[in-house]
Amino acid sequence: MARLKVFSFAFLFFLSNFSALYKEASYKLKREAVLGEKQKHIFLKATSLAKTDEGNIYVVDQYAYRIKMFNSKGILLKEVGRRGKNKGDFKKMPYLIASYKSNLAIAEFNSSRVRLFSTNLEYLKSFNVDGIIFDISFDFSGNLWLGLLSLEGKTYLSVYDLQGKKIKKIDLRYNLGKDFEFGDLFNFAITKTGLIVVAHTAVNKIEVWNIKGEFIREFSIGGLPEYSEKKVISYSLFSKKYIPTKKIFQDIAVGMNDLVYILGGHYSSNPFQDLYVVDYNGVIKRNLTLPEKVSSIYLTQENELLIIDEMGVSVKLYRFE
Amino acid sequence: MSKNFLINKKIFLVLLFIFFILGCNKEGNEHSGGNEKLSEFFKHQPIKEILDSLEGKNKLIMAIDINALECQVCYDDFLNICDELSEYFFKKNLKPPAMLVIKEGSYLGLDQPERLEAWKKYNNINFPHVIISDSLFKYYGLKPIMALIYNNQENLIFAKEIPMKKKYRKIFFELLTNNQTKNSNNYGNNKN
Repeated sequence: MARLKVFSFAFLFFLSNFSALYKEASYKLKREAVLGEKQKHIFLKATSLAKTDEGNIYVVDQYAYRIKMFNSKGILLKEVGRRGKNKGDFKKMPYLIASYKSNLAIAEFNSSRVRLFSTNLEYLKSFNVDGIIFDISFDFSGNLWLGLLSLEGKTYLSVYDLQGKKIKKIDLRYNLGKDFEFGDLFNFAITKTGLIVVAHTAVNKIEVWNIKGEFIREFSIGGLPEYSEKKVISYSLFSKKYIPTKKIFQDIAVGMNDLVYILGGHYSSNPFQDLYVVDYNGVIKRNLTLPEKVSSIYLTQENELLIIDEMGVSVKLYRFE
Repeated sequence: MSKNFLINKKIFLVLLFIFFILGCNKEGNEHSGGNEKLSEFFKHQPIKEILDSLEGKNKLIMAIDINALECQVCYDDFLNICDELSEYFFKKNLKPPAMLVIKEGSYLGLDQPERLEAWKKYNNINFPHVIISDSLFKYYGLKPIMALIYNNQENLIFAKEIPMKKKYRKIFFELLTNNQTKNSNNYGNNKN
């Protein structure tokens, strides 16, 4: 009888938690706008976006070599950019964008060049950094943080001021080594309190650093594998080279209350749709499932979520309810 | 022992030399397997109609699988070639003797008429185009991004993949911009 009581209690406890979990999972998103909805084929391939304090949204259209500026209702206000070698032109396809006050920083694909534009899309200046840029974000004092890949294939974080002067470099804890090509790529986001949260692409590890470059902690997301699957891409006499074939995490962003939103990759229950919402201690606050597969997420301090769909052909603005 | 060693060394060097020669030939024969069909490619009716409407003795077909443009180097080289040709012929007040043949199927939907026009417009690509099926693309043995030049005797005189090596690039532009001297030559096509 006592056993039955314990079992019943355990069952009820499970049910109550399950319903709480379900309640969290049903956390609602209301679609506010589809960017450029009235224009046909507004994006050839959108890859990155940013929203400024004035409320305008900037989207990189990679295949069009353009930066497109929208208001918060999704109306296209302006677009600039073209392929070329003149001042302000893109030598390579634009790829990433980050904003800070009146500045936009844009990185080209497979390039070490940062291009600065005003929020009115006027070209300001360019500078080169010491690696190929694969992620970009401003901190809250206006310094530019970059995820970089060196010629030797090593990844790290570097910080530059807006004059292009290097401030510091941070070597992350997880490096799979030179036999694992593109295995150490990562995405990162910066909290308002000055924490850098790094989500590795091929390793189930989230690293937390402070803005001074000091390591704080690391954690994993439960239910996901430790490492991504890999395949051999080349053999030599004494070694093999691998590349990851799947992604554990696709993107990361920081929202209100400094909560971190991590977009799961291939191994999530709903690949490229599941968002793990954690605090910087790694405690899961809720899980969300987005209404469609997504390649990039961006959160604002106004409780908004901007997403680029899996193919990069549409950008939508949601509000959390 | 030292005699055996020398014999083995000689055999090794001979084998190395043979492999080297075979390796060199591999590049020369890069497109030999599909050449017979590639030589007939321009006769595909919608393609022939467009080629016939272009001026020039040698005419270019750029065959592309848009999905392969994910390769940044390939995309850059493809656009650079388009730009250089357009600029050269624009200065001469002529239309470039070039067309695109695009493989049906693009995960970005860029093979859809309106999106394709938008993509061409954004990238200043002014060449006419035809979309062909995946099976036809395979049948003709086309590589994902490829430049094919036919002369006015309807012979395939140039067939190379993009990105194009520098040494072929010069020949490629000469064939299209200086039609008088190079018609009899044959680059990347072993049949003719």
